[in-house]
Amino acid sequence: MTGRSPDDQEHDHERDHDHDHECDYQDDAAIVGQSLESPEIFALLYDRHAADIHRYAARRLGDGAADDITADTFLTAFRVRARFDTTHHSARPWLYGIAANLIGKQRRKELRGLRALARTGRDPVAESWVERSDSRVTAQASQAALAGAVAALSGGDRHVLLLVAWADFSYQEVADALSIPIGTVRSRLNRARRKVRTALGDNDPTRVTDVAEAMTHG
Amino acid sequence: MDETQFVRDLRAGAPLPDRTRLAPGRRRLLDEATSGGLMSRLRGLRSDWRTAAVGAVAAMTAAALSATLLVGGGDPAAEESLLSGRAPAGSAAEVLRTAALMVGDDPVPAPRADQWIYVRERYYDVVREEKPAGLVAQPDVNYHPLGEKKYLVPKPDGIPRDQAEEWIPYADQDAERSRTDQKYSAREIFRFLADLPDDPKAILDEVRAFYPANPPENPETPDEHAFRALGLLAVQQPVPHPQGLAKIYRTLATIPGIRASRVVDLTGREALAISRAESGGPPGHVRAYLLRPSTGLPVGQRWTADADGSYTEGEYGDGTPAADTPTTTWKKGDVLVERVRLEGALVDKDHERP
Repeated sequence: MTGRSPDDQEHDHERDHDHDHECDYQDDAAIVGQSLESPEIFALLYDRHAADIHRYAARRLGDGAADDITADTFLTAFRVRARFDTTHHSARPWLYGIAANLIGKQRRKELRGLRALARTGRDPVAESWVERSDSRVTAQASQAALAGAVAALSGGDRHVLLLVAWADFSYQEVADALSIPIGTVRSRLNRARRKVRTALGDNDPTRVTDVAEAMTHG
Repeated sequence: MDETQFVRDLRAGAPLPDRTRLAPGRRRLLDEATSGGLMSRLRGLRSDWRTAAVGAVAAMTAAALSATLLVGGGDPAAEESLLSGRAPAGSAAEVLRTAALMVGDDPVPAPRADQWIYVRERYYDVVREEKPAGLVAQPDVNYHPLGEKKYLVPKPDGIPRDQAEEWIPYADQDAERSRTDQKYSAREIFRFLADLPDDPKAILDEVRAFYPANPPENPETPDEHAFRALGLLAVQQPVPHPQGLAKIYRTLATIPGIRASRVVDLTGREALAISRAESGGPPGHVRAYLLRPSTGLPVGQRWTADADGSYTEGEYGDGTPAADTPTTTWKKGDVLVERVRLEGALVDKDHERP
């Protein structure tokens, strides 16, 4: 179970297909390295990852904010690309880390959305990608409770939880993205999941299985 | 269902954006990559980009060339005496009213909803250039093998680094569905111009509502806002409505503080610059809209330094210092950024050239 919709997978397939034709570069690190000599090549990284980061940002802050978060993520990455660790083949953790930093700067906006959902059952963030004519987006009671729990997390815990759940990151990728030890990732994720479980009505908040990593890594 | 799955299901309906939606961000990145990005750092330009319709970003600077081909601008030879020549430009208001007369009786184009606007533009950014507003024409550009086909990028040898072309859907559906302020398709802008009232004050009210003022963190005075918004409507619309453009010119003529001057643009051609200093923070600059004297049509934008200055890459969004970048210096009066259209036309298909 990856948590990705068929549309997502189709999109991935299209992008993979595009890549077959567009470059000799096998991994992101090669692109970043080459972009130091030919800066415009960095656009290829945008083509690979911008859609996913946009969707991630939209889920956290709303559809409108996602445009700026995505653009600023890549502009920032481009400007600091000289310090990208090219031993990492994928730039995803690096890019999501920058995006998380930018999203974190809009913490109040994110919390407003989550708390509105928790309080009213209406999700203003989901409404941002649903036509107004479709009326308000209402959530199940469990989602409202979940939103309240996510809002109550610390910023660091929330980053970890949502990178695992929404970006399908492994523990190591989360550690790379947030520049924290993998042990910290585990402890943050366990704490976040415990609070979420409690909010969802589980009467044994100490029972936390390590299924997230298992699901992420098969 | 475990709690992680509950989290995964939360807001799982968020859509993946398509390429058109992502195009403005890609364009900003390429602008940064190929020109140093000074444009995006100039005060107010960020909101300028936001005004561009999704997929129509290049229209900010490239649209008016479409106008050249679509509207015609009357008989250039007959109009030479109106705005061209060696005489001083005259007052900005006079220039704008004359330009309004030149374009106001042009026939109204009738683009189809399924058409595309092809634009090719040239740009200059002082951060990535050693010489001010170079006049050397380098028309040969090539596709970068790695990039998306619709974007031209410089050759590996770095020449030229000043051109790009793009195809913009005339009736961009994403832009027209967008609920975000200031995202409009070319068709929406065309219709807005077509429906403008006659009274300049009423026009100003409508234009200010169409392109709202900058947010508080990037303040602008009411006159700066009016000059920016009116100028964008003049320069940006991919297919100008001639009578609407004339109304915009006449309203621009009422804005205090505007000046007119004769300049040579990035392509080496004569242009009339309608300018107004902006009072924002560094780098201080003068924003100008460039009109072609022979047609009265807008062909681009220019930002000029209003004081000596310099720029060194600083900290960025994640709080980390930038990579090594030399300091760029400029003198008062130097061109900081300029974008001029080279070619533009309506075409029937994406990636079709005129």
